[in-house]
Amino acid sequence: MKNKQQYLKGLTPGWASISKDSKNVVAHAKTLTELIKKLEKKGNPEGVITRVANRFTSYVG
Amino acid sequence: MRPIPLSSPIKIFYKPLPNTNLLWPILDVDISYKGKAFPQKILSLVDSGASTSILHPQLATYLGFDLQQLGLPKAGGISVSGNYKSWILPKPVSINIYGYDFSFNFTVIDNHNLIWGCILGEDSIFSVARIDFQKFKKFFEIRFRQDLN
Repeated sequence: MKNKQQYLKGLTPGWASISKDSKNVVAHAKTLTELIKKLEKKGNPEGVITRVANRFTSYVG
Repeated sequence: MRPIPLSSPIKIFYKPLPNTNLLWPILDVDISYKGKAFPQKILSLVDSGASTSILHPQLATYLGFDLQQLGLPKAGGISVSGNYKSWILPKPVSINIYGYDFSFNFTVIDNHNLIWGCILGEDSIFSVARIDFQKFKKFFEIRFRQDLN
């Protein structure tokens, strides 16, 4: 599996849909509602919805 | 105590999150509420350190929860980055994980910059499945309880 970061590089923070094989960004938008509208226009292809955050190097939850 | 029957293990590889080089224990789950569903699965963090399960405010709103109607978010939550305010959703949300259906309660943190759409914590995924993290092998395994579904 390719690293998603390669395909999301340059995207601004918001929401994205990644293809099922993790190889492509299906759609991207600033808000979730906008993303879902874009997916509807594309015929709701398969994929997974994820947040796009600012770039960071570590995380403590 | 009687042993709880578990499903066969499902192996899931850690995945990267956009804009990070880190690998995370992530599940792709279907989330719905009263018939309203997302057109795709939602990437969700499996977090044994979360005592409650979390939904991003935009996800909760899309599902039909009126957060303003729930009143002001209440203080009391705490994380390593400090205190947070949140709403507790009044009704459980439907979650499908690998074909297994569940209803989980969720907290919505009043932070639109939250980097996760959904966090599955101790009161959800960890209550219905045994999870074995094997980060050194870059995967984790889930065995669902067979006495629930």
